[in-house]
Amino acid sequence: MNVEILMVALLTAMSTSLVGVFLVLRRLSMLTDAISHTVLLGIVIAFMVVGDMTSPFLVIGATVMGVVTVYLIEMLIKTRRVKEDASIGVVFTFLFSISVIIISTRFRHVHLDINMVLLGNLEFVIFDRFQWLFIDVPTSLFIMGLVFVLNITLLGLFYKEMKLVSFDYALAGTLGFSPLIIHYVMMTLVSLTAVAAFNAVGAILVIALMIGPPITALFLTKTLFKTILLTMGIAVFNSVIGYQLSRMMDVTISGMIASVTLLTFVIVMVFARKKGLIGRFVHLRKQKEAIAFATILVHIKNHEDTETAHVELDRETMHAHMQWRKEYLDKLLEKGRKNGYLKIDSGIVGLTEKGESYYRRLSFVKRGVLE
Amino acid sequence: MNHVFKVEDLSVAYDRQPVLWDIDLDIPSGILLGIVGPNGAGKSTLVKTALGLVKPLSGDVRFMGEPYSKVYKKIGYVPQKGSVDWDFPTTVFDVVLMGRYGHIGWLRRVGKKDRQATRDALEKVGMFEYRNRQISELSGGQQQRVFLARALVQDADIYFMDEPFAGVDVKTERAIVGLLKELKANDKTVIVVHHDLNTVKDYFDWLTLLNIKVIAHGPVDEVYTKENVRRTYQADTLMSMEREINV
Amino acid sequence: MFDLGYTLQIVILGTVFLGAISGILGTFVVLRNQALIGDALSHATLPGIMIAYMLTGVRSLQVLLLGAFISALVAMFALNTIKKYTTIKFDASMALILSGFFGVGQVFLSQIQKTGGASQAGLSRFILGQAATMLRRDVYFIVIVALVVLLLLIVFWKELKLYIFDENFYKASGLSERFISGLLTMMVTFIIVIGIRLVGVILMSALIIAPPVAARQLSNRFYLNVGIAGFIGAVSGMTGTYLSATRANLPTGPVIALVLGGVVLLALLASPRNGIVKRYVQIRIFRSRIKRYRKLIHLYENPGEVNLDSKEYTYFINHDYVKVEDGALRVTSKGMKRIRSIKAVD
Repeated sequence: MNVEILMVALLTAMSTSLVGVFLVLRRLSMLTDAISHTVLLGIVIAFMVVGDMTSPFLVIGATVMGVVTVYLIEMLIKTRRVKEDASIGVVFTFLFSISVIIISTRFRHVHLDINMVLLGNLEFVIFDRFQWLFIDVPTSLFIMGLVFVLNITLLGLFYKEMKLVSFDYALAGTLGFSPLIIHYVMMTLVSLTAVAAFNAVGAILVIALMIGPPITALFLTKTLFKTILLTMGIAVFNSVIGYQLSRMMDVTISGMIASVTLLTFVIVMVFARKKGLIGRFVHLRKQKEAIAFATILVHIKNHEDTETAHVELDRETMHAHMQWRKEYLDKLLEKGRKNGYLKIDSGIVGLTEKGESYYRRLSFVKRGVLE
Repeated sequence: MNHVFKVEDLSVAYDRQPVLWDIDLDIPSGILLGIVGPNGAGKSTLVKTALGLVKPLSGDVRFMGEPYSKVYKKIGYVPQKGSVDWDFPTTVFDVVLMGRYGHIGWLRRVGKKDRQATRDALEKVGMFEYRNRQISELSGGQQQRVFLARALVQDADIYFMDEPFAGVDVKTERAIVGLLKELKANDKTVIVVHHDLNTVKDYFDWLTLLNIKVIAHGPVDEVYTKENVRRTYQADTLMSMEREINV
Repeated sequence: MFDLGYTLQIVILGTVFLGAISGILGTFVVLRNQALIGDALSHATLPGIMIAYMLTGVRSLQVLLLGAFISALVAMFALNTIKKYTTIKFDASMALILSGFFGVGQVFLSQIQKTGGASQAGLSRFILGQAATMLRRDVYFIVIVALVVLLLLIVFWKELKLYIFDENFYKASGLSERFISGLLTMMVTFIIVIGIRLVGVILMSALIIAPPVAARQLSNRFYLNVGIAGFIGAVSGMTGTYLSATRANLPTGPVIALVLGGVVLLALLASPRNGIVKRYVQIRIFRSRIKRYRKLIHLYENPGEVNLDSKEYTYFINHDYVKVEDGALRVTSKGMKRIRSIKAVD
């Protein structure tokens, strides 16, 4: 196990998912798709200016380009001639193709391989090192560390403001905060984080790292603070497991981390207790059954003590009057009898004491909808 | 009567479509005002413009003689329920607490006083026992109560409410009306965007009939006449001018 | 006109057909506000391509595309499930599916690269596409798929149109929603799958999104939108391919995307109908006129309510827009004309 690679993976996953929480909550997830592609143009342009692949100006240029992308997309939406998602698609493919064209015509010999940029390469991050005084760490680790600290610090300072803007943008404006400033601070952080994550995981997988852990966490939490904590936990879990699996199978680390991210999401989506698929299905079935049972009670109440009671409430023919399948009705009747709500006297279905009181508690009866 | 809220010559347009036209309003303090008009009459836009959320084409909005940015702490806002994401991971308590953020200001933390105000407001709207629920678990009426509580903790002098009765049950509607009357009794000014003509007389003491222009404005007994309502609900405004020209 | 080499002719044939059909189909997708689904699906094809290759060991385009197709369908199914049964927002699930599937694809790719020989080179072409190395039968395949999709569009035109404009009405008409949305998804997946070999997974979205966006600026009629989008797609495909052949190392996909971007920009800025420049000027004029003549319009709408000695009307009286008649201010016919002209800036 290479601790340095794992550290880079961990810091990348934590930094990206941290900003990702807010992107998801603000329904801006697909902006990451745009930003992560267009920062390439920023790198290319900055490189053309400074001519040095290791210059910090590349990071700055790329970050600026990410923010410019957001601005362009918003401008396009504001014209009200192009919808939101179409704006994203138009802007990022345009800017991205410019960068690919520049790279393939002008920089074929330079260390700027498009595949590398798109896919990233965690395996190689340890070779590019940052050395200063007694420090000797991979450059990626250093940069990612800085970005992580910056993200945490800004979030700590502006937690209240970011929460407010994410939940209710308009209210933030009326309470004297400037949502626009907070918005652009967020976008700058997203852009910077995407740029920093570039080396390690590339333009496409960074999206999974940003969005995956937050939407997984959202299945399990009910407050923003817990969502953020759990998001980080999931990010760490995904990186560690992804790293281990990739070493065991000798395949790409970043690809494996993204795959594990997808997998944890799917597992949580299916099994989350309340909001997961199984939980929902069970809930839906219970709800359906409760409504069906209420319908039976209403049917009984409508016909008991009337002249047609012996026909309408005959256990054998009742299903025909209600136009239900017999098996289904029988199942419910049986259940109701077992639980003491219904009684069956010589083939005629009626309510027990308990059934009567349950009927009165039914919300629509109380509100008088049926009376 | 001193005028807490004054609108002069206000016009708002989206592109070249006038949404509000030549609005003049004088709103004295301590009244319960309903703004009523058909869909697309600019009711919400009027509120949003007052709160600085929409930029006007011309005209001026003043609160006690000051622009909004100077007095925002004295103004509470209840937006339409649909304007936020109710699946957001936050609790009832947290949402109401957000109403205090304006008083707390940038960077500073939430204090004891803010939490107490939040608890009081929750009690007032009857939502205290739900304080730890995630907001996604609330019914429409409960959501509206939470929004109302959030406005209450702003401890404002003027309240703007955008369709607070939309999609709520009868019980909640009654509770909200009671609360509005209580606010008024405490000398607050409450301005409510409303769409149900039948309840206007019972709920409000002042009424603004709006359809892009102000059709009528004043005490409800004077304004709420058949003729005024008819004029409001037939587009007798710049819209008709536009139609005239296009034909 | 141009002296096009045989290979270039073949490639152009492919990109023209691809451009046209993606533009046409894209119109449906973009009008349904699902522009980015294409982006997600095209990224999601990667694992399918890799698995198909690993299973068969064949690099035949058709086999790989079958894998891509299945993989995209799985992604679509996942997206629909998340949308239907969870509270996760659609854009977030798209982002995760896009990137997560791509990650899975990369895992397989790295597995193939470890064991495979020279053949693996062809696989990474799917990411950015490589039109120049297309074979003739690959292009014929594209043409056939495009024609089939076109035929399907014509057959189900009425239903698709209704579905896009008014989903609820469509459902209320007793037509099967599942069938039509499934059909649309199938067709989009088809087009993406044949397109990625040419322009790659990333820029495929440009082909689907840009032509309809440009066409939308030029016309409000649906069938014209479809036609214009197809035309823009075809012409951009041709121009892009030709331009990319003029210089060494110019990749086809990005050049096509660039051309498309240029067309969108042009259409947005200069459309005679709603061009941004024209609209900006109009709005400016409108706003300044409104500010200037506000009081005049006020008088026109509230005759008799304006105080006779209101100072604000001096300017209008001096310019004959307003006159004093029977002790009240009246808008003159010149004033009426002015008011009318304000709304009719076009």
